[in-house]
Amino acid sequence: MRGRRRDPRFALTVPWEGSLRLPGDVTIERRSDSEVWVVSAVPAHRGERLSLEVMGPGPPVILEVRVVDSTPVLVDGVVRHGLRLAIERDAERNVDGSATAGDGGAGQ
Amino acid sequence: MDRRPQAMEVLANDVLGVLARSVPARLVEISRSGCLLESRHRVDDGTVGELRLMVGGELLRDDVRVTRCVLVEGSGSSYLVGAEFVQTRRPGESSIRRAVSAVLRGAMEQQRVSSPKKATHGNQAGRGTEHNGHEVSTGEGVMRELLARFVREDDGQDIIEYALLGGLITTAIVGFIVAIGGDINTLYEDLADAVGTATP
Repeated sequence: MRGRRRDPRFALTVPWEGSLRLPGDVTIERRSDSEVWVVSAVPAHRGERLSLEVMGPGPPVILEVRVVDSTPVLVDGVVRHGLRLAIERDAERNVDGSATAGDGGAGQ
Repeated sequence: MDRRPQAMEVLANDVLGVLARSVPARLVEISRSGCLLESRHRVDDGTVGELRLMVGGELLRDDVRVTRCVLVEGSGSSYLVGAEFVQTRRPGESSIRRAVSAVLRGAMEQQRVSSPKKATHGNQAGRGTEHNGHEVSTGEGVMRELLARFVREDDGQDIIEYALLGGLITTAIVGFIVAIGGDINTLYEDLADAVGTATP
């Protein structure tokens, strides 16, 4: 058992609430005013709320989205998942927290 | 759902994004190098993410890598998630690692010794409170107090495990000797008889 634990551990008598943010790379295929279509390596549950950070020529933008549909797709011989995401427009903001312009700012 | 036709924009293939899901979790144990979380969701081993904790109205965050995820027996869908901190960036003001390190530097002992002075510091606003010769922020001071209040150390756990292991091994050896003792004794007696009655 020596070496199994590197450091002394502390148990919290009252556990702290928090969250684990798990990011995954996606390719954004197309978008409309209210929806975004992406290809992801992992599927998502319908109705699940996620955040989408979009990288483009402009400043990165974070969109709060909701999964409308998740279907397996074949991309270059590999099974991926096409996700249709509805944009929750009220939550749309830049990475630095400032509000975006009305076009949604998906970087294109 | 709105079924009106909408303007569709097909984007170039190189438009990349990061899709992040937020999994609710509770921090159960913590050390300088990692932590143990409890979650209703399964998280695959090797997954890298950001742990966010709300402590005393302050958001603490750090990058972690999930090292194991086990289902708690009889709990339905409750998982214990072991994670190690990933050293991707220098610990900042809101780093969980920094808060834990502050405690391990002896903040608890210091708090006990200088509690009246500390109470005065705790009411100050802004940054620059002096603790043990180090310039630290008031936020870190708050974290120290909170951690010191909420945690208990479990150093003795390893010793108990070794003691249990030693006891089990001893019991097994004694049981084995008792079980074969009679047979060995009989074997030696038979051997002695055979030697005594043997003719050259």
